Amino acid sequence: MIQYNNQYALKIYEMISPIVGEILAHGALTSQCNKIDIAPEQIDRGHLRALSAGFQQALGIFVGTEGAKIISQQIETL
Amino acid sequence: MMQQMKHDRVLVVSIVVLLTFNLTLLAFFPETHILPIYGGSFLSIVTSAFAAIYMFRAVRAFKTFDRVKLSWFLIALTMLLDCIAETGYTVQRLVFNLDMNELFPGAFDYLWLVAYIPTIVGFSLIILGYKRSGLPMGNLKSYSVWVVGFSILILVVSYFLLIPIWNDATLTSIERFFYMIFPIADLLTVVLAITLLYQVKHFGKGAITTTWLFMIVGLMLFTIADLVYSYLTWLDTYELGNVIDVAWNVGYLSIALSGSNQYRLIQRIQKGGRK
Repeated sequence: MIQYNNQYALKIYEMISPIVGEILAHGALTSQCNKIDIAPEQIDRGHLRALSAGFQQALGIFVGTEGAKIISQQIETL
Repeated sequence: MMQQMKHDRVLVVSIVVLLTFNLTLLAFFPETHILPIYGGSFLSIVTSAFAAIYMFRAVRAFKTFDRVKLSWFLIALTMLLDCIAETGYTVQRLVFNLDMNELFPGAFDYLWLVAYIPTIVGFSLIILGYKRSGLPMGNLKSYSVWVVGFSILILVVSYFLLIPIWNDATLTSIERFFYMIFPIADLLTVVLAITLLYQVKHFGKGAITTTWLFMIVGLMLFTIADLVYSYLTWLDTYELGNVIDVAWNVGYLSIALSGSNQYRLIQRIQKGGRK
C-alpha cells in the first residue's frame, strides 16, 4: 500500500483505492494534484473542491455520474 | 473505507453447480448421448439468462442515464439477445428436430449476429469514456506489442478459417457471409476486450478491476468458442453438447459475475452517500 504523510492525500487514496485499485488510485491522485499545480503531500482543505471536481470526472466511467458525485462530495467534505 | 466486496453467494453457488453439471456431462457421457445434448442446451439457456439478469441488475443500479449506464445497458442487451437466440436454437434443434448444420444460417443466427452490435458499441463507449477521464492510457510502445499479437491472430484466423471458407465453392453467398462474419465480429470484439484489458492492468487490485476482468474473460471465451464453432459448422460437425459449449457457458457466467460486482459496487457507494 502506498503511504502518504498528508492526511487528505491518505484519506482520498483510502477512499478510491478499493474501487480503482492502488496503482490507479495513486496515479489518479498524482494527476489530479498536478492539474492544480500541487503535489499530493501539499493538499490542504482549500484544494479539496478542485480535487473533488477532477475525481468526479475521472471516476464517472467506473461508477456512473451519481456514484462519482457521491465520492466527490465525500472528498470535498473531508 | 470500502470493504472488500464479496461475490453474490447465490450466483457463486449457481456457478459451481452449473459448471459441475456441465463437466460431469462431458466427462461421463459421449457427445452424441442424449444427456449432454439436452443438458448442454439447458445450460446454455440458463447461463445466458444469468448473464442477462445480472447485467440488467447492474444497469438498474445506475441512477442517472449517462454514457456509462448506456454502455452497460448495451452489453446487457447483447446478453438478452443471446439468451433468446440460445432458446430459439434449442427449440429448433430439440423440439422441431431440425438439422441446424443444414439450416445454417437459421433465424437465430441472424439474431446472434445482430447481438454483436450492442456489445461492440458498449465497449467502444467504455474505452472512449476511459480515454476522456484523464486517467493513464499507457505508452505507445506497450500498445505495439498488442498490435503485433493481434496481427498474428488475424493471420492465423484468416489462414485456417477465413480463406478456406472464402474458397469453398460449395457454399452459397449467404452461407459464406455468415461463416465469415462471425469470426470477423469476434476479432473486433477481441480488439476491444484486449484494449480494455490493457487499461485494467494499470489499476492494481480493486473492485473495478475484478468487474472488468470478468467482463473481458467472458468476451474472450465467447471469441474462442465462436471461432471453433464457425470452423465446426463449416465442416458440418457441430452438435449441441460439444465440449466448446463449456467456453460459452463459462463466458456467460463470467459476465454475470461482472454484472453482480458492478451492482454491488454501485450499491456500496450509494449507501456510503446516504450516511
